[in-house]
Amino acid sequence: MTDVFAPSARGGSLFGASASFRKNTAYWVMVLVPAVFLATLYLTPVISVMVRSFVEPTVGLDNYATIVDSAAIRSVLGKTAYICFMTTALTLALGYVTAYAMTHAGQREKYVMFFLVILSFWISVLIRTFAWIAVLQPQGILNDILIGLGLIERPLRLVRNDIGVIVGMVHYMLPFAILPLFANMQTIDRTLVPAARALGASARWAFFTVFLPLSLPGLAGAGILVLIFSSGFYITPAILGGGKVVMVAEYISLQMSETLKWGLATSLATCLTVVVLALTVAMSRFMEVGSAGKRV
Amino acid sequence: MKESLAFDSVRKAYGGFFALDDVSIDIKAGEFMTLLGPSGSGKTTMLMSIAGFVEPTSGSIRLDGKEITHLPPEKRNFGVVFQGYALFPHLTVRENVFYPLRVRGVPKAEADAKIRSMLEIVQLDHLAERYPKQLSGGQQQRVALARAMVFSPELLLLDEPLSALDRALRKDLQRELKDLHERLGTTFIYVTHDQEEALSMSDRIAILRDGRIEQLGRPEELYEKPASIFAANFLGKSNFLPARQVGCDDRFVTYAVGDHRFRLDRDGVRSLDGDISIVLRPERLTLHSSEEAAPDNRMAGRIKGVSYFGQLYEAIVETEVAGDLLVSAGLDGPAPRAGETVWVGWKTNVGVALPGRPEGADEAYD
Ligand SMILES: Nc1ncnc2c1ncn2[C@@H]1O[C@H](COP(=O)(O)OP(=O)(O)OP(=O)(O)O)[C@@H](O)[C@H]1O
Ligand SMILES: [Mg+2]
Repeated sequence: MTDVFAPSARGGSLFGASASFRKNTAYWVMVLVPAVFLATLYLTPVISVMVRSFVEPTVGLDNYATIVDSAAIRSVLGKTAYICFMTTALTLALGYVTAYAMTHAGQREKYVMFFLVILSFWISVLIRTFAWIAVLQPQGILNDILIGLGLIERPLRLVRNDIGVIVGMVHYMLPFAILPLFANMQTIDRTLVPAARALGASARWAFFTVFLPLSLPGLAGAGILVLIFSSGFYITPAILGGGKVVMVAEYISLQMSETLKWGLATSLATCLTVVVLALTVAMSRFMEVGSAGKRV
Repeated sequence: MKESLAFDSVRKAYGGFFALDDVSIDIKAGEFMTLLGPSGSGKTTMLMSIAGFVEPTSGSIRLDGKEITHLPPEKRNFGVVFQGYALFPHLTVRENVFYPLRVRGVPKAEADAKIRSMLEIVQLDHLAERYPKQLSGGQQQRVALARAMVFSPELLLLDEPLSALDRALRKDLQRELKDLHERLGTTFIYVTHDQEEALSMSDRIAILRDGRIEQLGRPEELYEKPASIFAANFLGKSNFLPARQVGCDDRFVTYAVGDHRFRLDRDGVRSLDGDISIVLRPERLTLHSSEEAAPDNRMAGRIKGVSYFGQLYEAIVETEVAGDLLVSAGLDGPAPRAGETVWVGWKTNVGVALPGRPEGADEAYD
């Protein structure tokens, strides 16, 4: 430290410049090393995937034409969009209620709920997915209970279809929705809803005109986050869908490992990356708008 | 005058603790009533039970004789100004003020006229399209006021509305609030812990202590005739003489502080046994250079220190009989000087005798 500042303290501008140059060099080295590391290990494969999508098996846009033309691929993309949308909607609804309850709970209850939400991060997605099979399959716990209670006669089909996939995905996504929603709700002034009620609004009207609009940035952020994660989901649809529900990530993997159509696989991966990037940009806009609204 | 709002033995318990303990009070229509008390004395609890956010454990609250104890807040038609203003950050000033009118389904044209005239009253018509965060503290306070008053509520409840503002602005807004009160004739119930504010604005003041009303009355009454040592201490500055009552004839009551005796008019004081305190306000004490110049009630002392406050001096006079006394002196006479030997005097009509001794009195008078 001292030798960095000593020259400029003596007033020698030349010494000062060289000292700041030395300081800057250290700074750049510290920035560049991880940047190069990230670029080689992360960006290179991504770029090679993108390049491959245009050159394999022949140079041109053939792969993208296939994506547009193929009925099979369109149905996979449609299914992916449907599952993602349902997952996001359900996750937001459940996450909103949970975050709302956490925000309005007493201090100790808040900690307990927070802990329970975080807890689910500790259990691997694989274990959770198989646990859902145990719960949802025809001879599973849920069907046994429902039959035991006499509510149904034959087991409900809850796995190897959309329901199973959505249940598993919503379960996995919930913490990712709850945490940003909770963070946003924490910033909403607790006296606003009472103020609305004092001005004559019913509890419900106060919620819809005051609390909900102020929680929209959190809702948008959480929604996009969940949408991004679910668009690339692989394990849960593969296991809980049992091969019947094929989403785009699983389809890509099939193209690579079974049919060896690397060009098609990489072009689908590129499309997915572009969608995710667009959503990320949208999310950062929402986050900005949200915090700007608070700062203005 | 008709009775506007009445508390009848209202209690509010949190666990075993009473935030309000047997509170009864009648607030008249059009009155400016101030709830004054130290932190935790139950001011907000009392205000919020009027607003409908705190449900009393027992007792009843009535508006013009009609029971409202368990009515939800939105059914009460009271204006509330919260401590932090609670303006809606996603709405402009105009939309904030429109909110209570929208809830009530007031037609657009009528609402617009009301909003405009209300914003004019609080001098914010030029800022109607701003968002709350773009306003200064004083302007936000005015928006909160406009929003609470635009639907002509029967009662306006204000929880320390000026506490977040600096002193000069506070003075301005105090005058404006008082003005507004006179102009609109609405009943104001005003919470503060600023005694000066309470004295200058209120028709009546209720001093709260530990969830009970310690004393209720007009500002002059409370200041001149405090009913307890707590009230005397809380409102204004006081000297407490540790005394005993030693005599009483048809005109005067005689007291002793140690061996020193003095008298107060009989019709101004209660007759009391045991340890008592005589409350003497600093501005009722006078300083004299010689014994002959001082009134009958007097004691010798030496000035320990003097503070200058612009409109007056405050001198601390060390006396052998009663310890340190605080004396205010106007600017007309000679300025008191530290080190001077003086006589402190007071007339027979200025003291108040109260039972008991102030807390910590033993150290103070030793
Ligand atoms: N929801 C609650 N649960 C438990 N105790 C409470 C609750 N609300 C208030 N109290 C207690 O009741 C007492 C009175 O509180 P209140 O808020 O009315 O005081 P206050 O006079 O407004 O004080 P301040 O000047 O600090 O605002 C306090 O001791 C407080 O801790
Ligand atoms: Mg309070």
